[in-house]
Amino acid sequence: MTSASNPHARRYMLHMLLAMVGYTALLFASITVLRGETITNDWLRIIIAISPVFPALYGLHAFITFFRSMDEFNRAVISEANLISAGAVAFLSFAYAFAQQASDLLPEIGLIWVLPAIVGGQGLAACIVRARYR
Amino acid sequence: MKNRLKVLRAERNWSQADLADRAGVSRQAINAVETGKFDPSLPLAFTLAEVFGLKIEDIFDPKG
Repeated sequence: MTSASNPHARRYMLHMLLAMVGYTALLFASITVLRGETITNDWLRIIIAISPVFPALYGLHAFITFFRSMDEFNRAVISEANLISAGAVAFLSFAYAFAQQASDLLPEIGLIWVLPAIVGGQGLAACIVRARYR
Repeated sequence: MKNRLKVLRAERNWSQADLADRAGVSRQAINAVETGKFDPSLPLAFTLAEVFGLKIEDIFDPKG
């Protein structure tokens, strides 16, 4: 039950939209404030820098609520997709770190890419897992 | 696990979506159970049996 006709899916999309709007607004606001150099206290700068994470966490909460509303088949698909994605990102980053330590050829990759990689990987893995049941 | 969902649906002229609505699950779930690619939980098996007015063992064959 993931279609737009499903009330749980509609609620999820609404809450996710709110989370994304909040995330975008706080991201631009935090970048603007931090570039202004008016705030010099390190702890305050850290709090401002991580502020976009809070609406993103609200998005995670919306996803978990939606996950709990799914039937057992869709929960199984999403669970397996999450396992594949988290595992792939964990082991790829683990292997990359080993390779990076052994050579100067590879550039450093920021931790900021972990979340997008897991989310993107989850979407891709869900398509593959779902195709297996067709 | 083998099952008679497709036959039972056909007897009642129900689509997968009709059965999904009656059982309170997604059409994908019905399709996955019907094709034997996904084994339903005991509560879902009971729900499906109730929808058809049959016993679980009349629908599902664990040896299949």
